[in-house]
Amino acid sequence: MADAIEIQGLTKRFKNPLGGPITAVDNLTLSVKSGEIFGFLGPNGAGKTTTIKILLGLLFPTDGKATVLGKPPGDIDIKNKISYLPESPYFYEHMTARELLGFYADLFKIKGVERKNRIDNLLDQVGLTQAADKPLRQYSKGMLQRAGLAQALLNDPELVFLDEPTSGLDPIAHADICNVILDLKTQGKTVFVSSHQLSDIEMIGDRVAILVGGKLAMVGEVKELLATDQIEVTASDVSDEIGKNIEPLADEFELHAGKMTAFVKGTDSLNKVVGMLVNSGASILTVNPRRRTLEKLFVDTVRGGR
Amino acid sequence: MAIWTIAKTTVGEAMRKKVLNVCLIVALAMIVLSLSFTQLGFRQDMTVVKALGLFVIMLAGFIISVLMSISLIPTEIERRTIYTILSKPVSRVEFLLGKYLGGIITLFINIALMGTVFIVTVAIKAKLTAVQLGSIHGMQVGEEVIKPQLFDPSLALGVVLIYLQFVVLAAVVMLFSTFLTPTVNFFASSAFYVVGSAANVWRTMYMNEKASVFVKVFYWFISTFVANFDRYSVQNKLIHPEEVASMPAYVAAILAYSILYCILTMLVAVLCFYRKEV
Repeated sequence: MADAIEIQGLTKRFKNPLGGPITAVDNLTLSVKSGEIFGFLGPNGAGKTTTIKILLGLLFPTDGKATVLGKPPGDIDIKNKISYLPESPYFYEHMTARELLGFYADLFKIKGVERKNRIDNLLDQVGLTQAADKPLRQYSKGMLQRAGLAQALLNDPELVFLDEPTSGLDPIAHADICNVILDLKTQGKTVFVSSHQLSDIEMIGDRVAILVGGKLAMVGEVKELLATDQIEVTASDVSDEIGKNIEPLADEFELHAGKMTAFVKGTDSLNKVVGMLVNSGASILTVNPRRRTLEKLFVDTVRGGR
Repeated sequence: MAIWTIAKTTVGEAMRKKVLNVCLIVALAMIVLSLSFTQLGFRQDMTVVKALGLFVIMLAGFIISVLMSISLIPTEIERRTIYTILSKPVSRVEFLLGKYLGGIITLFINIALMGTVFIVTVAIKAKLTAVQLGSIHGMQVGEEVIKPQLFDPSLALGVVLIYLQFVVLAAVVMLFSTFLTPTVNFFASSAFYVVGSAANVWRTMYMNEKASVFVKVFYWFISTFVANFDRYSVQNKLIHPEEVASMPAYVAAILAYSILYCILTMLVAVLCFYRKEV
């Protein structure tokens, strides 16, 4: 599948009147495949928003290059196929959501019946139909985020940039926005999402990149990055004697009131543990590959990168 | 298309700015209050009403023009509304020209409103004076004296010329806003206007044979590159039209100068904004 975004050796330095230049993005190289949800992670100040702004043509790189849908950032033709939801979006407060979408539809040159239908459908999709004719100054943060998402979907984009799309939202709005992102993937769209909500990315992301201090610390498929070679075995009615026999075979072992949790590595150890449990009459509850959380991976990566 | 869309939104935003609305209301009140000048003779009273009205429109036009234009681009960047606009199929040139067009339309609405109130005020003043003169010299005499004052087209022309000079100033402020902070821009634009309003003084100094080369180069630079706002000072010419040989030719020359100056200024603004990081 073709790459939606290609970044090679991208570097961005900002002038600093009080000292030397500040490097926000440092020799970043990565690619985003078409049709995937790509999580762009990193602590505050890691260079995520700077990278997105370079990809949108709002900032210019100091060094390196990037292409978006095969064209340089800022290309007018490409802007018809991409969209952007900034972090904590601000819009013209005197407008209603319907007028706001009308304004952006005009910028996309979407006219007539198509304009009206798209606006109505999007207001419905993001749950703003009831509030569509209220001025945006009366909107809550969650409602503004929904309006922002609607403007980002107005042109039926091939590639969507979302910067912190779920930050500060209530659980309902949060779930709704995650569902919209998953819908985009179903429709074959590429979603480039920067977020601190790691559980969201773990749930919906195909691949992630972790940026630390402007440098790429890690990139890969979520499944692969979170997978380990350990297998978690849980059982009940485990006697202390069997527990003592199993403990040396496990990397991590815990036995309390007959309930056991053991993490073992390799099929030999697993077979021995399962055999001992079956022969002793214990009940095996689960046998699952152990999976790290994205949060753990993120924390380890960021701390390791510092 | 994008230019017009951005311009319409700019007008909507600018017309809701409280500071500009307060300025407009104060100016309108001052124009109307000029009716209270009744201590002098008929001609002097009319002159005061006209001169004060034009001065108030010019002062308010200057304040509105500068305060509005300095924030058109920086506010979009500060509030991050520019991100969602420039990530749409809108070029930076269209964005800048759309903001400028919206700015000068807002300026037009404000100055047209002040101009209308001004012309109506002058007509009311003339009518009131006619009644006063009529009570002394008879109604026929009063009507004849004030007839030319009831609607004086040269006053409308004066308002148009005031508008034109602030269209030029707005272009300069927009140019400055592509590389200066709003506060610095305010002082730079104000200084530019003051220097431009004294253009004929600079020209006279430049023409002086005794001036040094340094002075000549300095004044040549100012009189060449700084907009000549002195050209638009038509109060005396309007109040004493006999001083101008051909008013249509004079106005046509100012119009041509304004258009050319705006085009060149916005061209430089586009070049500055083209690689501006937002």
